[in-house]
Amino acid sequence: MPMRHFLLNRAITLFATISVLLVPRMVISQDDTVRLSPRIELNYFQVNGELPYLTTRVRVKKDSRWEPVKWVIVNLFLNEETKLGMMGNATTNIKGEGSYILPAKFKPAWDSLDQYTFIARIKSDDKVRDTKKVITIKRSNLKVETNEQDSTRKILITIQERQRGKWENVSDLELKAFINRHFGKLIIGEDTYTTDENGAVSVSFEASIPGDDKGVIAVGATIEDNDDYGNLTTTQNVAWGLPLEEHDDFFAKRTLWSTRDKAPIWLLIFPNFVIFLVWGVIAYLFYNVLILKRIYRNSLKQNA
Amino acid sequence: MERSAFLEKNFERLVPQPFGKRGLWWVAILLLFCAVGLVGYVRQLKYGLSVTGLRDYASWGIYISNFVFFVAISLVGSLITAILRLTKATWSTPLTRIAEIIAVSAILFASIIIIVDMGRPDRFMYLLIYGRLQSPILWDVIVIATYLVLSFLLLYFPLLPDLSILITRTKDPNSKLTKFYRMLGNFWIDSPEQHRIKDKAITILSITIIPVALAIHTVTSWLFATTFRPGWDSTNFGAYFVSGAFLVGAGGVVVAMYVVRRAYNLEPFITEKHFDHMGKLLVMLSLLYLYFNINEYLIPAFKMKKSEADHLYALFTGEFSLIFWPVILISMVMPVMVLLFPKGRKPLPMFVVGIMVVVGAWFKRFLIVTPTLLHPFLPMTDVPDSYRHYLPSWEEWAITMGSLAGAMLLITLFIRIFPIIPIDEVLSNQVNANETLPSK
Repeated sequence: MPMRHFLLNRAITLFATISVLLVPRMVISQDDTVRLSPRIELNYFQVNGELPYLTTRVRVKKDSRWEPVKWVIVNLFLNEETKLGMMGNATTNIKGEGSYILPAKFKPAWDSLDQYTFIARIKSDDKVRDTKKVITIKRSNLKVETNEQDSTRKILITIQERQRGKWENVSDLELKAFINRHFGKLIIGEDTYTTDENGAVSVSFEASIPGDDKGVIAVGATIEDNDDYGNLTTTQNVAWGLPLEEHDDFFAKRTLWSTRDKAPIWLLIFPNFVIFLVWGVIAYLFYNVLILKRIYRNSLKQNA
Repeated sequence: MERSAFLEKNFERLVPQPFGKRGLWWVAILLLFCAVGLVGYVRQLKYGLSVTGLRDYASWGIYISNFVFFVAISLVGSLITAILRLTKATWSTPLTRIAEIIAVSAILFASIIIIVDMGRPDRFMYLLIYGRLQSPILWDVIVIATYLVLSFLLLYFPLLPDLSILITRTKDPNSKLTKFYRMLGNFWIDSPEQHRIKDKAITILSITIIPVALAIHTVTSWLFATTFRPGWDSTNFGAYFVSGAFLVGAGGVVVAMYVVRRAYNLEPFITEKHFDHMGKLLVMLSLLYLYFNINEYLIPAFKMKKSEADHLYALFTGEFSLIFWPVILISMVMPVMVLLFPKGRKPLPMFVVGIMVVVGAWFKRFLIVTPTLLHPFLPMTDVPDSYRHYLPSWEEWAITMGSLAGAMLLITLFIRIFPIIPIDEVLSNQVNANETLPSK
């Protein structure tokens, strides 16, 4: 009997142990089937040498199609994934996109380094699995200058990178020259230019482009999706455009399509005249009701 | 028969009667529709206009159709009361109160339904604060408000002597209804001076309300005609809308006078002669509206410009043809064919024709509003399939039916509270004509 008890106890203990070990695993594996394994895109942008910003895009592959992952928090770090390196986070929108402007407190680190490592991390939770993306960006300086000699206009673009505390020219780098317009960039000259050994490109400017009232336009250069430098854009204002001629502003006149304070005079006079006329009649009719009441009061007085 | 003797004999029949069993059922059914409509509206307030079938293209649906219908039917106040009064057509006197009540109820619900269509009701305030006088929408707001006040006054002035009669002859001076009558008209002492002022006020009102009534529906038509769209780009639209409004208004009065006559045994006052006259009026108005319809559809169809063609084919042979042709035949052609014969102008056939005209008129407004929006000049590209069609949601139907029920409920309550036959005016006409007063 003691032997049978012993074997029974062993069997129960073994079953309990297996259960304890397996059940959570089963639960976890069920969770795993619904959790997403997203992909993070991390991009670096700097415009006119100002504080850079990062954009993130989180997607997941479903049925051979990439779909956005919304409302996910992407933690962003500079150089190291520690509390000290933590910059902040960007929450994705319904398109799975988020953006983050680098905080000013990182400026000292920013100025002292030649290159930066940005780390984007999505922590594992009930929706997504732990995911990480790292990019390394070299500190660079994209300059745009304009030059006009003997009616020849040129845009001089130079790009330098920081190496061991010094600025060095970057050769063989593709970039684009453009003019800023209301709804985008108008590429000028060739589709792309490549920097020479001095890290420079010279672009002739011959276009007749309308500018503002003084003919000022913004010419610039841009480097897009570069593995080393990210996305850089620099613009320079120059009065090379055609001054915008002052013309008779259609919408400043009193017209049917103007704002309410510019209604045509006839439209103010005629309807208002009709309104006052008809409402004058209505007021007179209400006055008649008062007269009827007065007749009643007078009759009461007479009877009294 | 003298005035007092007539009053003595017919007073019980002329005063407002409490609801009977059928009346209570009628009110209960209308309240039920209103309640369902309210549920729909609460959902619309909570979730926005996305609960409706309205989308980018069909942005005006049955709410606007309903609005145009209400504005149209409200014109009956000016037709029966003002025009017939000014032309000394005294036969219409017993019908004036019915017409005025319909006018007031319809224009009130036109105002309500347009706010429903805005989605968020607070947007109406923006219209007043930021409205542009250049916009026909603001003209419509101004003219509807004006017409509403004039219609109230046209209901109120002829009511004053009747209120006095009700107050003096009441069996229960302390009843709530009598107190209400006193609040409205206790100052009426039936003096010649008061009668003179009242008659003058009614004449002024009758003259004033005609241009305002024409303006209200003309401006409503301009909401459409001032935009460049197939089916709306017409210089005829004002007259087209006004003629249609007179037709549906007259149809509405015919239906109401039949129901009221049956419900309150008013056969001595609303006689077959009234149905006969209204029948002839309906024939004239049907022909007039048919004439404008031929203008609106035949001429564009003759030219068949590409931009108009899709819209016209949709009406004639396409997805709206099952509404278009019944509307033309049932609410315009058949009334003429039935009412041209004296037997067709008897109360029951008139009632049926009235229903046909009113129901047809509602669908006619839908045909004016929605098919045009679904056939824009620029082709629809890259839109979900649901954007290419318009199917009202249950919330839209509930709110629309609720508003129609609400207007009918208001008419019913007016009839319950006020004498549906203008007692004093009918008496005066009889005395003036020196005729024998009708008796059952």
